[in-house]
Amino acid sequence: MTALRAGASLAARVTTAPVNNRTARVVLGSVDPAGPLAPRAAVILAAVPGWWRERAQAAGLDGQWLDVMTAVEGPITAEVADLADVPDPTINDLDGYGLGGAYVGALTPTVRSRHGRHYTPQHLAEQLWQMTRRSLGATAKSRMLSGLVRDPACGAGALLLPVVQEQVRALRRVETPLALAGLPAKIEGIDNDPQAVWLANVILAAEMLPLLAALPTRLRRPLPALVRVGDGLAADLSPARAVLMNPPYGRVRLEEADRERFAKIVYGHANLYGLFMGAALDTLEPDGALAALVPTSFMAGRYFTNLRRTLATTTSLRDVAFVASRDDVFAGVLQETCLSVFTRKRALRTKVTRIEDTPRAAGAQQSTKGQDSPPQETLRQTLREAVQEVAQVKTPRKATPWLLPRRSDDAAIAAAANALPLTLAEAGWKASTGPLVWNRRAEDLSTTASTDPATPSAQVIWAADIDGGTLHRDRARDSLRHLALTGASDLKVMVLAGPAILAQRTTAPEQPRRLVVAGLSAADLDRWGGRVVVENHVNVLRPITPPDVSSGTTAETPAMSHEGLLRLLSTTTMDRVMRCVSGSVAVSAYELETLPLPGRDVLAAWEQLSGQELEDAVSRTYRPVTTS
Amino acid sequence: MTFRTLPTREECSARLAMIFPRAAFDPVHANPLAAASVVALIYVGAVAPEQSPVPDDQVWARPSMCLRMSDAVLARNSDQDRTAWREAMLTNTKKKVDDLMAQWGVRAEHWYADNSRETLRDETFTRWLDHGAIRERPGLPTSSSKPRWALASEFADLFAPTLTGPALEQTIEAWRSTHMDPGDRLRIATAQQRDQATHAVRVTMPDGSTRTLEPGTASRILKGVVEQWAPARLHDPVVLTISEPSRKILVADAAVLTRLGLTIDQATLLPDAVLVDIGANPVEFWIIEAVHTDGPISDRRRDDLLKWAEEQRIKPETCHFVTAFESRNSQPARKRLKDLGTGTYAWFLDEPTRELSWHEIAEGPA
Repeated sequence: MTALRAGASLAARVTTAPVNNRTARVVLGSVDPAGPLAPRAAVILAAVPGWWRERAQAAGLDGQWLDVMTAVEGPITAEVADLADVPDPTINDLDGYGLGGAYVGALTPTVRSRHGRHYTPQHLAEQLWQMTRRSLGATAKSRMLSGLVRDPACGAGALLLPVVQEQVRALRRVETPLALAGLPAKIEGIDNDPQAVWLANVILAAEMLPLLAALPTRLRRPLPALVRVGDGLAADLSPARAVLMNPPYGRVRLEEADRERFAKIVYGHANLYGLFMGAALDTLEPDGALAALVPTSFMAGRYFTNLRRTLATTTSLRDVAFVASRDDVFAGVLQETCLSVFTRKRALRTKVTRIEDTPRAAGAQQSTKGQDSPPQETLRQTLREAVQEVAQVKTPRKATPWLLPRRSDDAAIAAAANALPLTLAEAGWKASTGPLVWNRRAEDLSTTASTDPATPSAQVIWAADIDGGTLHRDRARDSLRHLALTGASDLKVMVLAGPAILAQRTTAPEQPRRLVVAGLSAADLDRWGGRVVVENHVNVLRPITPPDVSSGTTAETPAMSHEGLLRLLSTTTMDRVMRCVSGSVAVSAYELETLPLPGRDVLAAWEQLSGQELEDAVSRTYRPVTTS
Repeated sequence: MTFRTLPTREECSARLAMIFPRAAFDPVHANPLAAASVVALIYVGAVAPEQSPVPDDQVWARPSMCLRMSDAVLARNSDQDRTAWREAMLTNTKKKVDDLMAQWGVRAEHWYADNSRETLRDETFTRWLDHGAIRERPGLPTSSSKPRWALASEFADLFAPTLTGPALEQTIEAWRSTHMDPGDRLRIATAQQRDQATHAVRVTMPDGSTRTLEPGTASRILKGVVEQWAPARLHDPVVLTISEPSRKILVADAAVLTRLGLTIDQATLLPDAVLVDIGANPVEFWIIEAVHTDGPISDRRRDDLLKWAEEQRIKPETCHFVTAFESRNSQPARKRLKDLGTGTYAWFLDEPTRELSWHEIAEGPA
């Protein structure tokens, strides 16, 4: 499930409020400023004047321009003003990205996770800007921006760095004093962490130093501040040509007014990053673009249904780049991330690319290092540039999960699946998640079944029991095999008393399949006392109306039998379809229900097939009709 | 060599659409021009093993061979005719081809005009390369006009006329699963890169580390500059950047650049190499152009480079310029020496101990 990465720069709007004993959910709109400065963060900020001095000197400036406090406009917080000027050679060696990253890295883990302050790696920041300018129709040449570029949660300014760099390049041949003064009209960053805002202004201003140095002394003015302290979700932001963001994540509780404002994009739980994307849409100019570095959960999750509908109907997903490894971007988060660019202008096709994980891929090469292998740097360079083209697919237009291939070998399947008429739910099957959360019921779990009819128990089915695609009893779970049905509603909500298809809700990355299913047959149920309890790492698929052959109402009956569907879901092709729905190891009940299927006649024909015959038939169906 | 049986253009088109369906891939993977190329490459026998080293007698093709194919030529499909047409095309002289056409009594109606070759080379072939469907001749400089393309044999197999029905579908599926998986793509790319590296020019940097550059004369000249000119001419040389036609390589690490107060923007990297003499006081920057096909550092080029240097926060007064040639006798040197910019130097790979200086005479007697 969604890892809780609450509120990057939204600190001022966000505070934690315990919802229950398990999760703390932040409330949008409540106030908690950035909080006390972590000691290490203070050390880094104290080194910034030295960092600036070195750069200003290198640019050929002197005097007042070496003093960051006078050379750069913008607000200076009391914390920053009080800092001693303590140069640090290790900080001096960092570039703008590095300095911003060091600041975020120096925040205390609590602040970092509570406010979701994460930094953006350079290669992703540059890639996102390249994708944005391409979708805005810019050519390879550096050029002046034709409209405002905003990052509503800019942190230390990483996403704006490539934008400023391009502007500075484009400005070299323009009248510089005017051009510099005009920059704030072209580039705007917003963040609620005043320290980060100051740092971002310094980092971005450092890029303008060559322009300042090129001016006659009398024309030199302090460098403009491009970033301000504020609320990136505010409703009254001016229209923008492009909005870039690496927004904070995490579920938030909305106040009534906010819920109303975001009604179009929120469905059930609200996630901060979804709010940022939705709010940005409202500020886009007619030919504008939204470019976001975000988790891919919005492409398939149930709670993002409304956001997907809004995005799919009011914009076109122009360009999406899946980031092949997460640990590079957000350490320890098991979430797939992507760079997505949406434009107001309509596009028919979406370009799908894949950005390879640089550090690990380069590291893997070390083992093959030999006399004739290319040098490390060359390979790493190749890999860094490895933005692999995956596919060009039809632009998603609906609120249902977007089927987007992560790899070229899934591209054809995704395209074909998109054109199929039914979903699993429409074919008459519903999916739900197993109700047992074991650690909430730890005291009711035991090794043996109850023998006392007054305190009945039921056998528990664990996710591990369906490893390998057949239902079995995993030894490791034997100590927690039986649940005493002590709760008042246990007999109603906990037990499963009919045949079903069970599917693992999360799989380990090393497992060969994402779709791991096994059948729970009537015989299994008989053997286990007529009922079982399914734990919550398992999804349960059941027919919406139990098949009743005698009634003859075929339209109402599920399109496939229990056995037939089980065989179908076990095919290689269906596993690959699932991978196009969700890039993560998780398979939610909602995603299962939206699996695309062919018409009832085809499903009826598949009912008769098994083994290789079925594999072939399914694989043929999930192949696009070729037109030449 | 044995030629493969020729598929028809229509069949190639249909199969390309099965391999790269339009619903999922950019059309350039499988457009009519791509289909024509498959036929033409098979016709001339430009089919290379996918990963193993290419044999010495490997046939390579130019994009022009695909464009200038015609139905009339395709109809002459004996081994002898195919060899004859290929040989005529390889000479790259219009007359040879015209003669052959006259001899065959056919009119040369090309499928495509010559200016379609950019699309083919830069879009279709580049994307095919990415999937290991085509091979590029290893060890050939990027600027070389020699033929460099051949279909990968496993990809060519998919167009065998004898392969039909379910067997065809299965073979295509098998090819897709081994050529579109990211891991497989990396494996193929790495193998071919390694092949390329055996032909590469290895340069030893002043600090003892080595770099490889693309094969070619420009790379050999740069090697000479780094290994011979720099140690002889500079007090304590450090190589900042060195580039090859298809790639800019940043040699110095971020820490060195920051110490020097530089930000080298790789996207706009202009010179072929930038060396720094950190033994000089103040530090001096040497901007090198290795001239094999491009022009030398002329007055205008010098001004452009100065502007570039300024952008990278290099002070103009610390910049020096060297144009490096293969030899005073080489064609580029004989043609271009006259364009040498004032205040720059020239150096020749075959006379490494000398240097040519082209400067204004200082006012008054020395």
